[in-house]
Amino acid sequence: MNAKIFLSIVIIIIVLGVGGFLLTQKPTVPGKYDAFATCLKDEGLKFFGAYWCPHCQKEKSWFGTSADLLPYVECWDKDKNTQNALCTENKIEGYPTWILPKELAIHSEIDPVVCEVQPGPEGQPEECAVGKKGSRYFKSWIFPDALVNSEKDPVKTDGIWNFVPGSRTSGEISLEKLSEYSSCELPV
Amino acid sequence: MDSYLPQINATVALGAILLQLFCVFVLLHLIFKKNSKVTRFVSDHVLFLCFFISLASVLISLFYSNVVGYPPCTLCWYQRIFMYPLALLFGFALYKRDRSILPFIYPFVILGIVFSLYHYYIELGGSTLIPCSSTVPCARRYIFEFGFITIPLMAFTGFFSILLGLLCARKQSRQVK
Repeated sequence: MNAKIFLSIVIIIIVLGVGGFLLTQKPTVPGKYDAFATCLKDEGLKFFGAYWCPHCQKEKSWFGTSADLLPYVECWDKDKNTQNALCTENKIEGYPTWILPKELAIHSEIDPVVCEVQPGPEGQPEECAVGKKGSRYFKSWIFPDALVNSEKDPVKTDGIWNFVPGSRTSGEISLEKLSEYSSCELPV
Repeated sequence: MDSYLPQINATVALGAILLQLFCVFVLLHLIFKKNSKVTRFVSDHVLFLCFFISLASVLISLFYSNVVGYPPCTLCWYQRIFMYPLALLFGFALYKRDRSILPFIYPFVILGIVFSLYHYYIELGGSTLIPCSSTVPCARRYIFEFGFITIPLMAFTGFFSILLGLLCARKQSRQVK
């Protein structure tokens, strides 16, 4: 009887293997966000992440099959189990981080919480700590739906904060926000 | 190996889903059916089935850590502590055809279930605005298939299926008495 069960298990494993192979085949039809992802790449945005980071996996999943076209930079050296030199040189402190080559305009009715470069002066909010929303290299602006790091202070005009080119956002960014932060249009 | 990883991940995740479906099926029979053929089948072959599940769990975890190169976290090690001995214990019990080992397995699987569920809970949590820090480790999620299958959930599936096997064997032995 155990031989029958063993045979059944072998057959199940073969079926699962075929299923796994078929499920991971790249589709021949273009993905919905192919043009959007390509546009982000052409505009010079960079998406820094780590293969184990849940937020990065989620961000990629929003692009579906178009995720392969993203300007993604893998930051983790699997062999050394540490961040690789490329991302350290780019002062990447968290994943995902998007570096935006053009001026970044954030629309917000609410004033952001501002964190100085860490370790900052005493009395700063707890969320400014490194490992939370603070940074060792940049000042941080915590908006309700965005976390921006920049070397220079933004210019505020009529509820819009304009950050200099090269600013970066940390944490998940929705596709709508990515479209807003670039000149790339989302497909209808 | 990395080029085949998506296929391997999908295969392992499909196996976990299949085992989860089987667990639900067995659990329903265990609760609602008095003389179920399903629970009797599981009970009759409990040593073989549990040996297979625990051995598969050991091999899959070693594959991911030693071949693919995912470093096991602290919680992963706790789950390994409770799963690895089971493959040896069930293997030896199967060889000796000795079912007296079954009651001693409960602490292993119950603690394994607690750790794997806690690990899965940590993996799912976290604010979207707080990025994963490159220095302070956050919940690392090496595998995320079909929107819910991760390594701790696979471990939970393994532990839970072994627990169901033990419960089926217990129910059967009580009915015989």
